[in-house]
Amino acid sequence: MRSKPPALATWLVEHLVPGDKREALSGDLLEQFNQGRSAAWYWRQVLLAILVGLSKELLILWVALGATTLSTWVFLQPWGHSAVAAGFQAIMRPGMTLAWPLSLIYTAGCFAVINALPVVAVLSLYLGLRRRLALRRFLRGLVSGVFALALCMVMGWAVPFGRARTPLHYVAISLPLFVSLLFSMWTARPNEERKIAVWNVDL
Amino acid sequence: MPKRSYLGDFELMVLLSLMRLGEGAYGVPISREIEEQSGREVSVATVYAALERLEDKGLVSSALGEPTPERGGRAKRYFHITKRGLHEVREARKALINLWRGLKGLEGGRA
Repeated sequence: MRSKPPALATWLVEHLVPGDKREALSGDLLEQFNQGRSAAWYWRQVLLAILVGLSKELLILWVALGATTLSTWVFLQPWGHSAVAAGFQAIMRPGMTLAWPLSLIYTAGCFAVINALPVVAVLSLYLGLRRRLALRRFLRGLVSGVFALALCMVMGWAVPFGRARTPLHYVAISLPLFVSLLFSMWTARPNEERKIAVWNVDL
Repeated sequence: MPKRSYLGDFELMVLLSLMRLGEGAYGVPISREIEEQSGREVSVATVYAALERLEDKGLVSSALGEPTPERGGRAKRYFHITKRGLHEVREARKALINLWRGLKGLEGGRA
């Protein structure tokens, strides 16, 4: 009777390999282990599978990190802050002259659109890089991103940031954008497409 | 007319293995076929990564099989080459034959 494969390795492959093929991959590894492969071989295959699987999704992390760093840097520059504030006021001003509840709807709408702009830009960049720019996927990512941003901002308002410009302060103010970008790209990432198969063909 | 998707060396090997294996093509036999025919060791994860790329390009399709006890109740995923995949293999073959033709130094197995 063959001993069991390393339990930790099996757990890792079943939880850390992204995509819908992890069950098949895990089964393939188990089948080969039962046919006589060593535990060292099993571990090597598991680590490779995690590395290969995650490297595809790392693009999301790098795009979100790059975009957040750039936006935070621009916002914290005196010229960047002034430009953002001036633009914000110019867009919001017409809403002040409107009667309630139109003023509220206008202000809330503008606020949502302004905050959605970075999500739109980054989502387009990501789907463009993956060459999978499709309206349905884009809208799915946009809705999730804006929802995550709104949720983070509501939670963020309760955090007493203070005036200090410490590294923690920078992280705290850029966190809502980072999380929403990550969430937006993750939900919009392409899935496999099913195609019509041709069986047993000869060249 | 669908956009041409150029095949890498390993992707071509995977597609050819799928054609050789026919209906029974899943991770284990595909890796074994490549190992036997090319003489190089391949990991199952690398094969799956290539299959996923090929599926994204529309050159391969897959379907889940029944769970089996020898695999701890995990189902096999069977892969098949699509019409577009077959077309790409033919194009790659044609291109390689054209490039190969007339290279006197490589004829008759001499390198």
